[in-house]
Amino acid sequence: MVANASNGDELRIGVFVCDCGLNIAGAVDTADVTEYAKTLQDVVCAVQNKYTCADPGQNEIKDAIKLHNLNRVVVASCTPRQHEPTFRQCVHEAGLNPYLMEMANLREHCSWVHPNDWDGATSKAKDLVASAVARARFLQSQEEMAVPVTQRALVIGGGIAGIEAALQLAEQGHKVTLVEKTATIGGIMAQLDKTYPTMDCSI
Amino acid sequence: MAIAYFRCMMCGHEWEDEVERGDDVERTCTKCRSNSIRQFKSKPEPKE
Amino acid sequence: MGLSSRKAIYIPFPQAVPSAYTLDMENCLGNNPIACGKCQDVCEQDAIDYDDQDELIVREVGAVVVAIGLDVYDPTEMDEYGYTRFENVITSMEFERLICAGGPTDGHFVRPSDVTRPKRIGFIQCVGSRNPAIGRPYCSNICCMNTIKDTLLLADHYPDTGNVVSYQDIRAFGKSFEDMFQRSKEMGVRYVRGLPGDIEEDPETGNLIITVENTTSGKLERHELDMVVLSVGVIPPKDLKKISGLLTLSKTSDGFFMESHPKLKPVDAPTKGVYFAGFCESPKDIKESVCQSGAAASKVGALLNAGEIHIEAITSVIDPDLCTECGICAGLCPYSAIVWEKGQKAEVIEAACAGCGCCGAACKFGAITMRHFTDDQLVAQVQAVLEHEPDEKVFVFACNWCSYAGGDMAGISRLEYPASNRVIRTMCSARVSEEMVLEAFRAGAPVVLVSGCHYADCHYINANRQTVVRVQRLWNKLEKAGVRPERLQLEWISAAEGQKFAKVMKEMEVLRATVTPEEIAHAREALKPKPKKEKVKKEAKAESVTS
Repeated sequence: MVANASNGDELRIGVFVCDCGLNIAGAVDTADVTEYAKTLQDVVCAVQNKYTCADPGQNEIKDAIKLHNLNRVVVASCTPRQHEPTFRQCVHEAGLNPYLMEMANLREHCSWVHPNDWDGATSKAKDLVASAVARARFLQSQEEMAVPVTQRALVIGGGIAGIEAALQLAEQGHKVTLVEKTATIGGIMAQLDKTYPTMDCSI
Repeated sequence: MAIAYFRCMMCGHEWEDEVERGDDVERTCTKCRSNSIRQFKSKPEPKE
Repeated sequence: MGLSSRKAIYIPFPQAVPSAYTLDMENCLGNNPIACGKCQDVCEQDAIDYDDQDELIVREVGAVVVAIGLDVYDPTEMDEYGYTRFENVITSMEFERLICAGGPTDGHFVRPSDVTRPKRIGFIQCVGSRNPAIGRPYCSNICCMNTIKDTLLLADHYPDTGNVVSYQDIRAFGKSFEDMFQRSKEMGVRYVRGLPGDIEEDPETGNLIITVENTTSGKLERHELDMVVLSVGVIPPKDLKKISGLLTLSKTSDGFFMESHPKLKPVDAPTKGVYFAGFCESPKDIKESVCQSGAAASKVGALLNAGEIHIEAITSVIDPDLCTECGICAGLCPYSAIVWEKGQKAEVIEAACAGCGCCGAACKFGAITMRHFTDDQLVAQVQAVLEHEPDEKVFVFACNWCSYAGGDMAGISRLEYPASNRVIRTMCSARVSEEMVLEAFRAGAPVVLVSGCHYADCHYINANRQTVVRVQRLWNKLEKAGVRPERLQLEWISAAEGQKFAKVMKEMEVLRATVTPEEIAHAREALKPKPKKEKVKKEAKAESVTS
C-alpha cells in the first residue's frame, strides 16, 4: 500500500553503533561497521558510541536528530527485547515518533555468540545494520491506542506467595481477588511444623 | 482416522502414523529431533 | 498423607483458614436420610447443604499474579530407597506432620512400624533433586536447610537421638544459614558426604541399613538406623500447564515458569500484566517468596495506578479498496478480530487484534497491512541481508516471543555457533508469508529457516499452525519448481532454548554447505514470480485443498 515511508519527504537516517564496552567491540569491528553504515542508502550520519544506552549515548542520538534533521534512527546495540523501550523513549524526547526507531542486535545475536570469529561477526554485524536501515526506510509513524486498566487484580494461589501478594495489593488500596483451589489457604507452608531460619511456627 | 506419511526434511527419516482429522500436534523427528516434518497424504516417492 | 484418619466432614487442620468444616464428597454418604445426614441434623446454623454446587464467578481484572506454588516430589519411583516398601522410610513432608504438635501424633515423634521413638535417624538429601537420571537435574534450593532445621528440632526435643545426614553438598548460602549448619554439627549431627546406593530393611526389627561411601574420608560407612527421612525435592505444580495455556506463559527447561529476563525482570511474565510470585517461577524459600510477592504486588500496583496502558501499534489494517471480500483472513484470525460476512469487505477490530500478522501473510491481494511489520519492511530486510554474498548465509525468520528470544538466550549464555546466519524478527512466525520465503530464495539464500514458538507456547493462541500450513505448501512448491525442498527448514525454539537455538544454527550451517552454486542459481530463476493472473488462480486452488 504505502510504497515508501517517507511520504515524499527526504529520508534522513542516523545509525548509532554501540561498543557496549567490550561486549560488542570485543568481538566485532564496530569502527568498520560504523564506516559501512555511512555507505548505506539514505544514511546521513553514523556514530560509534561506547555505551549508547547511557545518558551520553542517548544525548548523542538526540543531538544528532536535531543537528542532521534525522527522521529515522537505527540503534545497533543489543536485543530490542531489552532496550527498544529505552531508545523509543529517547527518540520521542527528541521529537521523533517512537516507531521511527529500529534496532540491530549486535550483542545477543552476534558478538556474544561469535567471540572467536572477528571477520565472521563483523560481516554479520554489517548485514544486521543493513537490514535495520532497509527496514527503517519503510518505517511509519504510529499512534498507540490507550486502553483503561481494569481496577482489580487476580492472585492465583493461596500459599505464602499468593497471600503476601494479595495483602500487599490490598494495603496499596487495590481490589484483589485471591483464588485457591483447596478448602484452606496456606499452601505447602501451612503443612510445615517449624520453618528456618527462625525456627518458628509456620502459621 | 487416516494414515499419513511423514518425512523429516533434516535427516530424511520416514515413517507413517495414524492421524485424526484436525489433530493439533507438534511433530518432531524421532531420529534427529528436527521439527521440519513434511506430511504426505500418500506414500511419497522414495528419496534417491 | 494417610498418617491418621479423619471423618468425611472435617476441618483440614486445627489452625486452618477459613476455620470451617468441609465435606469430603467422595466419602460422604450424602443426604440420603437412611444412610446418614447426621451432620445436617446437628448443625444449628443450617450451614450444611449437600446439594451445594460449584459456581462460576466472573471477575474482570487488570493484572494477574501467578503464585501457584509447587508440588512435592514423590520418591516412590526411586525404588532403591524403598519408600512405601519400608514403613520406616518417610519423606521430609511426613516428618513435618509427625513432629508437629498439631499433627497426627500430637507431636510425639514415633516411627510408623511400631510407634516407638526412633533414636537413630538418617536423612538422605537430594531425593528428586540434582539427579539427571530421573529427569530432575535442578537443585530444589530448600531441602538442605530444611534438613538442618529438622536436625536442630530433634536435638532440641530429643537430645539423645543420633542423626546422620547423607548429602552431596550442603548449600547453606542464605543469611544466618551457615550459623544453623554449624550449630547442627556442634549438636553432634554426623554429616556424611555421599549418597547411599540403596536402603535395606531388617525385617525382624524394621530397622534400616544404609551403606555410604564417605567421599571426604574415602571410607565405606555402614549405619543401622531406626528411621530414614528422604529429603524430597520439589517439582513444578501439576496445574502449571493449564495456567500456562490460559495466560500464554512459557516454561524453562526445569519445568518452572519462565520470567521475562533472568536478572532484570524476574517477576514479570512475558505476557503483559502477568507477574510471578513464589515457587512456581523457581525453587525458593519462604523469605524469597515473600520478597518476590512484594515485588509482584508493587508491579501490579504501578500498572493499576497508571490507569491506562498503551497497546503497541502493531495491528493489522485492511484497505477496503483492495479487499476482494474472500474472507480468508477472518477465518484464520486466532482472536476473531476480523469481521467479515459474505459479500462484505473484511474489517479489523483494532482493540481485539493482537498483532500476529497471520492475516497479512495470508492475504493474496495485498489488502492487509500489518502496522510496523509491513511486507515492504520485511522484504526490504530480506533483500538487504542477501545483497552481498548470499551463498554464504543462512536466512532465518524468528518470532519475537520465542525463537528470537531463544537466540537472545543463546547470547546471554554465551553459546557459540557459526556466524553464517542472518535473523530477522517478526512478531509471530505466522507473519512470514510464502512470498517472503520465496523472495529469500530468489535473492540467493542457500537455506531458509522459519522458526517459531512450540505449539504449547504460541503467543497468539495457535497462529503458528498457519506457519506449518505455509511451510508444507512451500515444500510442495519448491519441489515442483525443481528446488530441493530441504533447503527450507522449520524449527520450534522456545525463549528458554538457547541450547537448541545454537544447535539448530550449527545444523543449518552444515546444511548450507551442501547447497551448490548451481542449485542457488536454479532457484533464483525457477522461483521468479509468474504472470500475476495465473498465480492468483493457482494459489486460490491450493488454499482450498489445504484448508
